[in-house]
Amino acid sequence: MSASIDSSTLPAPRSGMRLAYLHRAAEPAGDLAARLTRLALEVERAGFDFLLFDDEPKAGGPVPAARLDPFTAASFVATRTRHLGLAVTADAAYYEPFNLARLTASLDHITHGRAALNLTLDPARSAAANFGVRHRAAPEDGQRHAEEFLHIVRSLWDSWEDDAFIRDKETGRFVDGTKIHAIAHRGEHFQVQGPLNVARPPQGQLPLVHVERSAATREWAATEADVVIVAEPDEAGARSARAALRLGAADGGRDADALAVLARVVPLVGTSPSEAADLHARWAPLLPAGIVAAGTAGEVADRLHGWVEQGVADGYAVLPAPVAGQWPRFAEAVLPELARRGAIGPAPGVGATLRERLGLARPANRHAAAPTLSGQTT
Amino acid sequence: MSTTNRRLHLGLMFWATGTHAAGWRLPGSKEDAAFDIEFLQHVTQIAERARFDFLFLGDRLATDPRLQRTNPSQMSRLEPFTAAASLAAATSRIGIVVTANPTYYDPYTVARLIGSLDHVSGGRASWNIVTGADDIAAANFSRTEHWETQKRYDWADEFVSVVKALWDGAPSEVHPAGLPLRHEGAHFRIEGPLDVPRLPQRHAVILHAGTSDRSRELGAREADVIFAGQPDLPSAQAYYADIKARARRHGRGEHEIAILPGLTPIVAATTEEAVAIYDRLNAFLPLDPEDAVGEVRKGGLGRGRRRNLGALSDVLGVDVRGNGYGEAVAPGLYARVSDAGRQLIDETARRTRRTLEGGARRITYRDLIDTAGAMGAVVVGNPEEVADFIQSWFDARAADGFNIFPAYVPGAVEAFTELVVPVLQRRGLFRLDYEGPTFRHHLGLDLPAPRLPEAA
Repeated sequence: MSASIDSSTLPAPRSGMRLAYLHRAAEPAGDLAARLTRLALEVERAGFDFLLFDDEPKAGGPVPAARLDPFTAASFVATRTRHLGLAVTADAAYYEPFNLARLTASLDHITHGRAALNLTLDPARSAAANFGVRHRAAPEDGQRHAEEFLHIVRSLWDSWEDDAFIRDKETGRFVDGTKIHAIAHRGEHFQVQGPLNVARPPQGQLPLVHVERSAATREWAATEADVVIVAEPDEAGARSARAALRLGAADGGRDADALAVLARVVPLVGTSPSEAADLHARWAPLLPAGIVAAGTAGEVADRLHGWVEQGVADGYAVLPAPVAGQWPRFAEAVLPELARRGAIGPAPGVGATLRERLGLARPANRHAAAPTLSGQTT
Repeated sequence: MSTTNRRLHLGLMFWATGTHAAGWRLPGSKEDAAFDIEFLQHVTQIAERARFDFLFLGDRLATDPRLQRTNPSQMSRLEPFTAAASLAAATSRIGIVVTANPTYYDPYTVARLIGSLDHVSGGRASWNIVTGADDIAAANFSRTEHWETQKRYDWADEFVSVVKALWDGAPSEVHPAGLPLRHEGAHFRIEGPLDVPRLPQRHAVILHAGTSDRSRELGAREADVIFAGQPDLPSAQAYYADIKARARRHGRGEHEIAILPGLTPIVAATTEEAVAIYDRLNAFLPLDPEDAVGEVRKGGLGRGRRRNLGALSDVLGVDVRGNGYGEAVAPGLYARVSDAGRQLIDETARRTRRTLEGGARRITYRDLIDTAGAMGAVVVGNPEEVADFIQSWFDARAADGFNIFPAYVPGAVEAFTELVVPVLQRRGLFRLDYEGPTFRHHLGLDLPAPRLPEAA
């Protein structure tokens, strides 16, 4: 159910491949705010389109978690960055749609249109033990629950038409009530009246990012997501995942080129081919899931550039190897090399929204033509 | 207990269009500030330069276009958690208060949102617990009804204790993986531990407001700051004494809970200018037709008194319909009206410096309607007069400070910080500089003792 598009506003997208930085927050404690700020500035300077704050609301596991809530982190670093996109992760099972719509719409206002939402559908519900509420049953049909959830959030984002505010000091009229819409949703899992108490986000609809954990959500992502990050371990898998996603998008009546499929890569950059081979031999078993791209800066750039040209991916979600010196090597040697080859376009100027940067049109408001449900202007 | 240790505390309530319904219409007021994060940062920085204890972000969970005449800035505004994180990045000392309603949130989510804010702000986070007066909010959260008071407070009591326990068990140097909570209560089953590290303040500062018995108990037991709403000195003194007594019964010291009523100061260099601003703001407010009776329902978001002579007659206990709005009130009326009516006339005289007998400056019916429409604590005057008001409530133990309501922004914030704060500082009532980096420092509060044993 993709929204209709006002094609007259279609901006020129950034040329070249798309780049996301996948931040998995599990780190030693310390000054988390300072470290996040430094990271965001480095990621912005390196030319990434967006920084994705991955999230799973639970502690435990092999690495002690020292995490900040992604909304807090994103809003905080927005003040210190200029044009980097900021994607927050939220699990539909642990939020009320009204609250999530407010958080995301506000983040989009605060970032001046640089926000994106990564809505998680976690069938394992690994964090459920932290959200036990006795009067509310856990959703058993995770996918259908999340679909309804997203439908509500999108509808709430459109509660206010762009020109709903009058703010006439002379007459005292502040809003035009005919341009504020209740959503009156009555569904299987939710009943939400609306309207949202936040103005329409600057991007109209936030770009939807989806991080695949399995292929089970692929069909849904093909029709709803703007960016899909696939978890395939090699380029052949990524290529077929991308083909399936594009097919699904076209089947759903979308322009397949408006869907960006990013392959997860873990770069391992050596100063020489032999050092790269040593790094690979030593660290491969400990690396996060993704396609390992090992080699010198030139070789890694070759591979990343080539895969995009061969239709493996539209770009990459980069997970730097947790090895000292690897992130600076990737940022300072591989990315400039890709830029030199024209494989990464110049970053858009300050003021561009994330949608504009990704070449996505600003959707028309789904309620604009509908009869008003809250029309009183008394 | 000695009064010399008491310190005045000041908070700033932020409503983007001003707390007066027509604040945005004054020349110089910003009418499009609601989603302008840089403006919110700017106003917070003004308060921080004046050494305010905190900036207060209120919240509601529903809206209606009918609010535009009475509460335009509450119709739509930034969600407070996201706004607060941005303010943390733009300031370095001032406390940041976020309002969140436990009825419509999960304890784990609130614990990590407030905990995260405490980290990015370096120990300046505060949670204002409200249980919600907006009955239409339920319809936005898949509920068939707004819970009644007892149920909301049963839920809130357990919610707050779970949040504090999650903070106690957060990962720390002693317990890097955190301590599991394994809470099994009437409403929640929460495994824990929290995934946000131990907060710089250990527990964020807790605010609460309310007048019901359950609300007073929750506040006296759990809150560090009580946000009060009494409009006059005697009722404020009674509320103050009650909360402090309840806090003592919970084993807490007098200084461990600060009571801050809301106060709208209209201040200018001279009394005449201040009264002129007060009059100008009220002149913007439309009157209701005389045939409109009963309370105004703001689309399920509270009620208000009608602005007409019929509603005024109800307050006065005397039928004054048929008089002109601009007509001077007859001096003989004072003896005939109810106690509430006399209070209304006295309050109007205090604000406007007009009287029933005063020759050219006489109280009109319109003046009384304006006062009746805004019966919170309001003080109109020059800087010394406003400081006198604040000091009188502080000395009379009606307040430990105030949550300042700026009627129009940024003008009323600038006026108060530039004109009144220096007077309060000169009198030794208000700090010259912050006592330390965290909100707890501003309030003179120690780190709380953990509720869980340190040993795993």
